Amino acid sequence: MRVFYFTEQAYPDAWSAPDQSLRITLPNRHCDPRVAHELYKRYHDEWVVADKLGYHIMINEHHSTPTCLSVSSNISLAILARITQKARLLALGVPLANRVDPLRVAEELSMIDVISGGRLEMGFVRGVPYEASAAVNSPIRMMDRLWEAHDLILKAMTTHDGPFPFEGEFFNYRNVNVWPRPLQQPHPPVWITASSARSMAATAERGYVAATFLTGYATKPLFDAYRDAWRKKHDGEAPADRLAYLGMCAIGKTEAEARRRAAHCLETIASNTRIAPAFRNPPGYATIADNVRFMKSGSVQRPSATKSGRFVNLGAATIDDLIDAGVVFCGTPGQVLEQIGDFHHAVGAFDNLLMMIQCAALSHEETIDSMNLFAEGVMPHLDGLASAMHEQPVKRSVAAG
Amino acid sequence: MASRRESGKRLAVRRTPIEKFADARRNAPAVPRSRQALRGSDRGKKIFFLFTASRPARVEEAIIERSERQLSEDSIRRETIDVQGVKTEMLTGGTGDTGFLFLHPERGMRGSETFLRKLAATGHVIAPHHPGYRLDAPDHFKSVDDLSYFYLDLMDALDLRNMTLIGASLGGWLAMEIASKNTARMSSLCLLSPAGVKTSDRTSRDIVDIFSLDAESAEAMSFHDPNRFATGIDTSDDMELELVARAREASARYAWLPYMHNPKLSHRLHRIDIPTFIIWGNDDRMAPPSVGHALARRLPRGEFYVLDSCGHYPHIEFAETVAAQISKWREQHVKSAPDAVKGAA
Repeated sequence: MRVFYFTEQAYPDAWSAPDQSLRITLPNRHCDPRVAHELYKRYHDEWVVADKLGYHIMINEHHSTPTCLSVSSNISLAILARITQKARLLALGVPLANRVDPLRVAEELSMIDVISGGRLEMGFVRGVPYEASAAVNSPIRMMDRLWEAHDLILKAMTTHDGPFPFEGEFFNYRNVNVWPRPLQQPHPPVWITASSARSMAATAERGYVAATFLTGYATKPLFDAYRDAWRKKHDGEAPADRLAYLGMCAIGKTEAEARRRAAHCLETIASNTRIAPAFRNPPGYATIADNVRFMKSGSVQRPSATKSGRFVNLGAATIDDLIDAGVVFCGTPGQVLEQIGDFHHAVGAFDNLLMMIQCAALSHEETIDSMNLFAEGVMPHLDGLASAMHEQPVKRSVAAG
Repeated sequence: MASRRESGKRLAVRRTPIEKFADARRNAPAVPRSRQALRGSDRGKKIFFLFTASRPARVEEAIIERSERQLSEDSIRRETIDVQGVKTEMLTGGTGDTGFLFLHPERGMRGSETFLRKLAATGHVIAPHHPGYRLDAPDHFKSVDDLSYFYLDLMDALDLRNMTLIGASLGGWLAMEIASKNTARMSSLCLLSPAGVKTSDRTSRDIVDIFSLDAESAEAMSFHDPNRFATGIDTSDDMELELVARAREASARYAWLPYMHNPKLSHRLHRIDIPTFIIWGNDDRMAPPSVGHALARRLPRGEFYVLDSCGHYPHIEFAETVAAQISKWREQHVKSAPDAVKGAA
């Protein structure tokens, strides 16, 4: 199993004002650029440590928020391309539906792949709902726009005989001819994030890696949707390396230490709901039928399923709820390994574990300690977990006939 | 629901009085409108005046479904219409030739019903849901400019003549887009705190960003007296919830960016050569009356009127007053030669 180290590169000092929305509207006078400078340096140093410890690295981006100082996955990746040696470099991702100029995305990703010596994993995401308000493009038909941008980028990376025109519904170019072309042939691996059975199936049909974020024990039906769609479209079973799960990890030498660190996980999850109501669910992001359901229930968030079958509301969850939900893996290395094992067993084989080990105000020292504990006490045993899983007959949710 | 085009057969719909009358009139010689208007006493006998003799068959073809259900005792009814393959539903009411075409605001038709009933008492009114607000819009509908072509087609399909185009807020923007392209089928225009033309500098908005407001705040800001007019949403009514969700999505489809205006429209206002009545609430907290005042000066035949104690939707807060004002405006500006429609059959 591949483990990708992940941090959102937060600016936690600005979280103290309790009533502030942390997205879109928080004035940037709350950002001290000298503090941000130190934070960037620190996060970059931690990536170097992650690379040495055998992690791969995942990068993301957000906008108009102190929860994530990375405003461009590609800028973070460009730095990583030179300061790391071995790690696969995953952007998860580039919010394609919000990008005005996907040709530029194709150029930058190609350049990063070449600089890094072919270590790029190319993740495309639709973009979170609340950032539609900070983006140029509208939240209407985002998936259609994402796929058209994707088509352009892939064609740009795989066309080697001179310029071609691209005259699409959303994007128009006169002469597409990307220099340099990517080092990995025919192109770097493509990842897509998915939170519905439909987008899981669309990703499976294209053979790309599908990732889900913090979906806990509700991940199983999503992964199964991928596996079912794969069986219909391709021969055989979906390879486990095409599935990825992002969870949080609070690890310590003792359970008490881990639980202290888990406070930062709680704060991060709570930050996801610290959004002014107007921005939570922009028009067009969800279907009309879903919007009717939201208005009836008064909530945009679905409760998350847990290992024990309970449903918990993530916004109001305790650390035990989050552990039970498979959203946070928390405890000593042994406990974390056991929780990941249980989760892996429940949702079926997946070979990419995206671990948010640093979040909120978890200090540099605690972050390095957590990375070491996970690398020594958990990571070496994950391959055994995966192969033990593979030896078992694959349990199918739907008879494949 | 199969359209007549698909089935090649008329839907089995009971003929309404207006249609029966239309059938009877179809072969009769056209009566000049001036004489029709004189026969006011006939109104009591529920006789409907229609230019059926000159109205082409395609008018009836465009209407693919009629609801017999009365939406109110004042005879507002629903029709599904197909214009060049784009379907939508419209509310209709009143009698005679279509005098009024109402273009609803960004909130959809919600709250406009009383105004439509009042208006229908003075003449025939049609009020289509813009594509997307009631039924799905085609994917390529992305701007108010696209909507304006839909309405130019609709006016052709229904062979509307000499009518008064009314638009509220986003609907007012749409009315100006339509009129800037072709005013041949209109005699006058009424704009109720219209969006569409930017008057402020580039780091300011003329209209509050509704997409940055939660539903309750937007509703409260829309009215001078929100306690009386702000419409709560009945969460037990799935159709109402769907209309609310659709209105928000469709408005984002047409007005997200540039927000609530078309930078080109201000360069086309000189083409709106018909009398244009602009009504604005003095307490409009969504868009100040100064916007309307500036707009009125730029319209060739614009007149500006400010309503006291009124917010962003004059036709909702003062349904009766505004309907009466518009009706009077229409009478003052009816063209003398109603059949002289350039390009109309």
